[in-house]
Amino acid sequence: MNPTLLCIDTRKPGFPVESSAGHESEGEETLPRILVVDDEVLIADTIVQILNRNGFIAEAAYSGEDAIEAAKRACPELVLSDVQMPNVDGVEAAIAIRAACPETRIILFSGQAATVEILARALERGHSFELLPKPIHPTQLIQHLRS
Amino acid sequence: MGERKTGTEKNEAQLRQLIDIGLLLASERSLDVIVQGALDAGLKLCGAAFGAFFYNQTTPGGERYKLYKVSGTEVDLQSFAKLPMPRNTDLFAPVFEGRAIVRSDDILQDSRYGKNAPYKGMPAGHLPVRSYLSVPVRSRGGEVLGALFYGHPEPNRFEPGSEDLVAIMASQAAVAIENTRLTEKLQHEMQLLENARQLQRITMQRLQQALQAGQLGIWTWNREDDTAELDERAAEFYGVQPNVRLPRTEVYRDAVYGEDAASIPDDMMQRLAPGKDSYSVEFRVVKPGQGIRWLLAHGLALYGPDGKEVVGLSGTVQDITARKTQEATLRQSEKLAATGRLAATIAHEINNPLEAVTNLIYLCKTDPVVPPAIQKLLETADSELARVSQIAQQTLGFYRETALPGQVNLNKVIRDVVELFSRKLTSKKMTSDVSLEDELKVIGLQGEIKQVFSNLLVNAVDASATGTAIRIRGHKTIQQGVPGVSLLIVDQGAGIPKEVRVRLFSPFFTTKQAVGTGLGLWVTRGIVEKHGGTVSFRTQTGKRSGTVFRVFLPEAGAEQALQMRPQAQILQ
Repeated sequence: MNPTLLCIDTRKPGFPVESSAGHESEGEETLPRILVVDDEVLIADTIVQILNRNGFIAEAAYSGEDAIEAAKRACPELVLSDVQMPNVDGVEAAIAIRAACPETRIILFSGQAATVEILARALERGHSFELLPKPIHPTQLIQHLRS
Repeated sequence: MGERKTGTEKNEAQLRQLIDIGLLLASERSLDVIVQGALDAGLKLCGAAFGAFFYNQTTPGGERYKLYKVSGTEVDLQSFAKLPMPRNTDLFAPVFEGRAIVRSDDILQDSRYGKNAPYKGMPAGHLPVRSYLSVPVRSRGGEVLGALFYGHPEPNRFEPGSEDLVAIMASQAAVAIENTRLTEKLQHEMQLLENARQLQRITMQRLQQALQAGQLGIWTWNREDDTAELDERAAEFYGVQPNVRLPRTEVYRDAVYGEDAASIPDDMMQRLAPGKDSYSVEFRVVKPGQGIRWLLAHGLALYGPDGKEVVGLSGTVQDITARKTQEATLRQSEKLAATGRLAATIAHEINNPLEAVTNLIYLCKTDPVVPPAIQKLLETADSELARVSQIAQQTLGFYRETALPGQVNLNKVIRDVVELFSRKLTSKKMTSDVSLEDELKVIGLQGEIKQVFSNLLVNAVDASATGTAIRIRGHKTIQQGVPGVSLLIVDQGAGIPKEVRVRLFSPFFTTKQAVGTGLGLWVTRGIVEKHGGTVSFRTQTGKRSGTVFRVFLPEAGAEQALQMRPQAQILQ
């Protein structure tokens, strides 16, 4: 499991399948891999921990650029990304990731009130993404990701 | 022609002719007829063989023509026309200049004849003239209107008396010609007057149309007696009689709104700033049944004949209520926009830490190592934090639904909301009594509908004293032909006072001094109307006080509802 910056939880998750550093080993794992992107390290890391305890293999990225890099290395099944980030924001990153990984489900995550504007901006570029509000309770988040 | 009667018979006949032509000339209006008539009569009076009448005509436009007519049985008009105009010779000049009558018994023997080039006499083809008589035709004012010329092939045909006869007739002709000129002039002037009147009518019409379009009324004020006169539109603004002189104070008395009335000067002249001759002022009028209207009046100084003294004012008055309302609305929306920006900034700042803490508590709560007692504490922390999130969304008021409209289970939404406030209710020792029909479902946005009931429940709880109950009822209904769900939230609070009721749904209006944003009900109404529904309330203060808020949501969502019911109404 990829360690998060804050190293909140060093214990192994209680999952039957252990993941190694093998991003390439696609077929072996049945757990969905999810990339969590937020420039607030605390948020990204807590979500990664939560998801790891709940049947995902989660990895954190702390910027739009890093997220794109990570996705290009190996396409995850899911991406959960904050919108408001410096340089490359969530929408831009999402568009780039979708280009590299057409099968990936991308969900944007925003504390801003202007959510409609975010969606509209994506739509202008010909894309539509899901959108979740911040703050969201972890149980609701998991429910949504599983649906 | 040429018969010699006896002296007296001849005189009688001549006098009769003179009378006849006199009558004709007096009654005739046509210049042509006058000229020809005079010419022919003169021919007979003096016994000439042929004659010509040269005359001037000036058109009303100021153009001058020299015309002529000829008379006599042997006169050939064609050959006469070929002759040149008589020129300023000794024979012609006196007549054309109106100085004297010229008579010659035999022109060929006359000393005045044959002196001037180029013809030195008569041009070829001229009528054979031996006896010659010419008489000027002069107006009473001395203007030469023309000249009569008579001739006879035989000499000594014209007697001295015939000069006088022709002269008398010439003066009658002159009068007649003058009259035709006056008549023409009069007609011309009348036409000009009629044109001017027509132009004035058109101009007035245009002015009225412009005033109508601009909703402008006109007024004048007379300095001397401090009276004013208003046209129909202006009078209508003040509710006074139009088009009569009224004392100025009477015009204002009943109409001008209190505060503005205080600033009306005693002397209208004070309206004009020093050195200025115009002013404008805005003020309010109140008319029974019409409420308050804003008016804009412009005034311009009117000067007396000397051009220096101000004798009054005149100007326009216009209803600018619409513009004032727009300005107020604009200010309001600017405030809202600013607030919105502020709220968005705060929301963003708060949401991240809230998310982080929520996640951290969750991680603690779900860690298997944590003992149950601690876990319970963490669960409490979790639900309190959920409330904080809810409050943040509510007070910052701009939660935007990210999903598409779908079917919303109102039973679940309401129970969730009540659950959210269970702690608050318990702390105030209040009870909730929820009774909902089964399967209350509408098309809409779950988050927003949840916010509506959150807002209403918060208000109900805040308004209630300890130990009271909140009742919630929900049932299916049909409102104005639209099937949907009606939900009631009933509290036993103090009720809403009268002066608060009209402003209840206004943005920035609150009765909760320190904590209220004044946006809750405004947002609520916005969401409900967005869903095609209505929100209304009934309230009672004093004994048995309380308030009922009623929300109607159409089953089929906003668009369908709008199609069925053309305009949404707020029931008050």
